[in-house]
Amino acid sequence: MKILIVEDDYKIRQELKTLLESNNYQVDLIEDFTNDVIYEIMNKEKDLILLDINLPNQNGFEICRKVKSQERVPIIFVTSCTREEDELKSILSGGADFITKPYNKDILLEKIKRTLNVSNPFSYKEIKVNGVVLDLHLSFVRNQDKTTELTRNEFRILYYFFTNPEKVITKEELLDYLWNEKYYLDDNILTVNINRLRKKLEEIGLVDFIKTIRGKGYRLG
Amino acid sequence: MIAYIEEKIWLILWYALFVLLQLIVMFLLDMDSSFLLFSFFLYFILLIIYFVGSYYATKRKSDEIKTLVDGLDEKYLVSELLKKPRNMENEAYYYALKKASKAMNDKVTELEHKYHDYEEYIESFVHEIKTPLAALSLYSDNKKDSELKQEVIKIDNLVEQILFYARSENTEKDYFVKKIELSEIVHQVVMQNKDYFLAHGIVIETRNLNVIVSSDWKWIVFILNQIINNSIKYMNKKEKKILFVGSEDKNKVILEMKDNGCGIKESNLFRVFEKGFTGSDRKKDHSTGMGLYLCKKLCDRLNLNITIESQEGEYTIVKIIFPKSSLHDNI
Repeated sequence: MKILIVEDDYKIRQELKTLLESNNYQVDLIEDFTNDVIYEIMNKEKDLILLDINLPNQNGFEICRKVKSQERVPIIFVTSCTREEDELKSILSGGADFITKPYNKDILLEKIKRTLNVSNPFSYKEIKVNGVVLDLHLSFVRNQDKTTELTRNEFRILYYFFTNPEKVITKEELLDYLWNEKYYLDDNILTVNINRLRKKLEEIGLVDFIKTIRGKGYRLG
Repeated sequence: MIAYIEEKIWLILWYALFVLLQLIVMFLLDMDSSFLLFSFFLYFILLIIYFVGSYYATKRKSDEIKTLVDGLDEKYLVSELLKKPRNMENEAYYYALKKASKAMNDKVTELEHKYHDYEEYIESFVHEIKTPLAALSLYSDNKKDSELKQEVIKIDNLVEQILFYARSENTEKDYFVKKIELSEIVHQVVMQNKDYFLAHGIVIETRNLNVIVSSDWKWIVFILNQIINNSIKYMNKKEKKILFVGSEDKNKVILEMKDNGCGIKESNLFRVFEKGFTGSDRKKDHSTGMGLYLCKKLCDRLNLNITIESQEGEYTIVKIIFPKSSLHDNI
């Protein structure tokens, strides 16, 4: 997924780029604001635009309207202060969402994800990894003919492992994900949950299914 | 009455002196005084009638002015409504009043201008400072520097306080009611403070937050954030916890926040919403005394109720009560 950042502050632009790239997005920037940026925006390939409202010599709402009249690309507005009129204007000019400075990393990423409409977890019925099935509707795990039921927390944790089966997942990443999903676990509770989860998995014959990678995190095995 | 007599005292004394002199002259000349006495008496009666009549006329006029002033919302405008008096002394007072109101109106206008400029300056200041703050916030995220991030959040919180304080005078300009689920409000505030919660091992629990209220998103998030910031400032136990609970009945929705911090002395409880109150024996670091004061003020503006209860050393509970009205349900 490619995101175009239209922001006149150099530092913010660069930091946004770093943030988005470390979250596996491709990023393109508009850096020159002396001329009309519409032309440049139209010429870039993008799946989403992050657009600042206050730009030198031009106004984000105007840019949004012009882009929208030529192309169907979602636009998220970023701004310093919210006034209701700004929020209304952003909706009227066709913006998909709205975020205020200083950006909360998690909320920003969540809004981007939502806008790009990435994978709705409940559009599938189950996920299969290495022959182990995670049932998304009834929240249980099945290994061959043995099943075990999961609590809400355990299910959320295992769900993240199942959707990222090859990846080494750090505790921080797991916490970020859980908090975004409104599961506000702290470090200890997370550890307790993972240990319980491991025990339940052992009961259905899955020994060491969640591997600890020393100094890094966890991975499904 | 007394004021009236005081005003006419010289007239009365003059008349008494005049009658006295006449009587002395008559007595010395040994005149037949019955006719004169009768005319004095008649004159006296007429004078009484005059005084009584003039007393009531004067009283009516002065009462009129008093009711006029009491009935005015902006009392300093009263000089515009007064009739020009016809006697000399009153005319002087009238003149003085006119001049004084004019001078004061000028002063008020000048201050209004200054205040407006100041408000605009605050808006643009906050607007400007958010850019470097955003840069810092992203920088600390990218560097995974949780300490820096926490400081940035503190600055942002203080900056928000200034902004909302400046705006709290005229909320109606900036008020947009829509339906919001309590869990969304809580989620926003929890995420804003996530780094702090995780770094300090504060456990967040939520219960029954899938309740809908009609309110303004931005203001309610600000209020909740102030309350949470206040809570985390006074956490003193090893196991720190904040609990959010939603509940609903026919007339209202309640959002309750309970922390297990150091609590508030009962004698101070009613003062926590006062401007500048920072607690008498709580540690005063980083307190402006504005947070809860603003919460109360904004809740009043938004027609919400806010209550606080506490057990010293045990817990503090803040409740925000959203009244339900058929009007909002139809929006």
